[in-house]
Amino acid sequence: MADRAAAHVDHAGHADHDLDALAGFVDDPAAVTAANDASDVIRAQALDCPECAALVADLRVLASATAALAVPARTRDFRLSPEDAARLTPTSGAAEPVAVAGRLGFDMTTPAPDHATHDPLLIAAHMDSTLDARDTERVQDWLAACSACATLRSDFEALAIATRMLPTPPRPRDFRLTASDAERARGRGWAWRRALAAFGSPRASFTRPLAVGLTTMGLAGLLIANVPSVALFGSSAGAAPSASQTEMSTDVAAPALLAPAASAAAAPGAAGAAGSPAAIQGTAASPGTDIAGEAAPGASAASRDAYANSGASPGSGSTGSESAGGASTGGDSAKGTAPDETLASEPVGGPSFLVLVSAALLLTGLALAFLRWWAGRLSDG
Amino acid sequence: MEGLRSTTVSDDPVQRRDLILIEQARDGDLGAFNDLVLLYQDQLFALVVRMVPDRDQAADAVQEAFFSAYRNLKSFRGGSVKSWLNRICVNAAMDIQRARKRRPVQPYPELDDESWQPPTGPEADPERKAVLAERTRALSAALASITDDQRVAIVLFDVQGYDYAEIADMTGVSLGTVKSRIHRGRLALRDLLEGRMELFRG
Repeated sequence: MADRAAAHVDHAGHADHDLDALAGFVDDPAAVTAANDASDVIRAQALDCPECAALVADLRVLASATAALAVPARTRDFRLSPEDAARLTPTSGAAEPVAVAGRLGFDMTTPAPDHATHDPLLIAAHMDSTLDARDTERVQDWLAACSACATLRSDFEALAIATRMLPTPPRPRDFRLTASDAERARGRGWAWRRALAAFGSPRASFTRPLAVGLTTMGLAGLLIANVPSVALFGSSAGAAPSASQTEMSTDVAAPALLAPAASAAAAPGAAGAAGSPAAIQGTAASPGTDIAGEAAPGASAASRDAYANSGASPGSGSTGSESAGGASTGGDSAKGTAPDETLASEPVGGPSFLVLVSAALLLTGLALAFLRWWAGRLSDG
Repeated sequence: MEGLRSTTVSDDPVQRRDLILIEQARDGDLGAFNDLVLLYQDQLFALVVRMVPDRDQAADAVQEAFFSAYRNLKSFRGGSVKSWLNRICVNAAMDIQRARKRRPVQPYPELDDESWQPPTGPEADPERKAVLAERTRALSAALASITDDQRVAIVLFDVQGYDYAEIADMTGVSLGTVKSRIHRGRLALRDLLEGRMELFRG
């Protein structure tokens, strides 16, 4: 540098050179080389001066050395503590009275007598500055007049800050996907698995009560359809059990239920047909009547007669939908039509509508429950 | 990049980088997707572990979120990749929490784990360290005790800084419900910690 200083002294024109402009060479030497405008021409002339060239070289060395300066270790953590934050936040701590009412002699060290009437949710909302003007004013009045409200407000703030500062535990593993993960996530073969998983996903939690409900309804329907004592459409009087058996029973239930009824009730049935109230009722019912309860006794009498006389094969129990036909049968039998012929012409042997619906509900419920269980096993695995 | 350019043009270099990685991942470059994972896995784990009070389950939720993101790359319609991943993670966390109700676990079993303790400088005095540790333990336990919905809302609002509308959009509930969850959650936290508020008042 001493040599350069000597050269600086010897060079007559150097004193006229703009050293401030020269400092810009360090940042943008290309502009000097291009020499596009008047100032660049001046700089380009300066480059011809050895003192100026030496100065530029020195400046570059100094800039590099500055950039390479070692950074001393940070002496402490500069994050703010909750105490710092509470101290720095104007609204935290015991709030200054902001409303006129708050300055009129309220003791700030005790809660206001009407503190119980102050809505803490409004105070919690006050933190977010989203209350409308009226509510904001109310809360500010409370904060000014009620020390309990002021404490609650500052507690909310302290908790929010502490929540934000909660430490995060170290990540337990690397979440990058392997090739097999990617294939599994995108592969077609897994589409059915994803579809199945939808049944077990927490978002599809409604499927569980749905499965239970369907299963229960199905079971209840089957019970109602098969147990005579809980028949929905049974009539009163002595013929009721037989009526319910005849109307509601299925193919399966018919042999067990109808055979005893046919033998045991044959005499009353015959008597009824001869003029008992049931027979009269059956006679009064017009053929094709819609009132199954009224038509049933006549129908049951006819059925009993039919089974008693012809020994009708088990499984010929009529369904609920046949009740109108049954009434017609009862009416016919009362008029002397041969019951076995009438019955033979009726469509018999199908399961009742109730049974079909119940079985469908039961199967659907069980299937849904099974799918949920399977999906759960897949997700566990 | 063409597909994303048509919907989003961003001058933000971070967003542009993310969009390029997404586009490469869409073209089948698993490495590009894993670069995104590397960029965001710490942030996402920090988000989810505050919502799901069990570290292993939080990790499962994050992993599932990345699976889901990879599976649904085609459904990304531009915008912020970080927000998109955050949304997927929040959903995964909420799913895990619903499942947790079916198979309950001990909340925060690792509260005594050193890794959960707040970082303190070497010069911090033992008393202050103890107070910080106790504060963390108390607050974590209280957070685990409020309802899942309240916890999610509080973390998204107070920690992540989302506004009401964004949280409503993420969690699929109304704005009023979000407000209610946040405010009731704050109140519940304060009630749970009422006897220990001195730890927080400083």
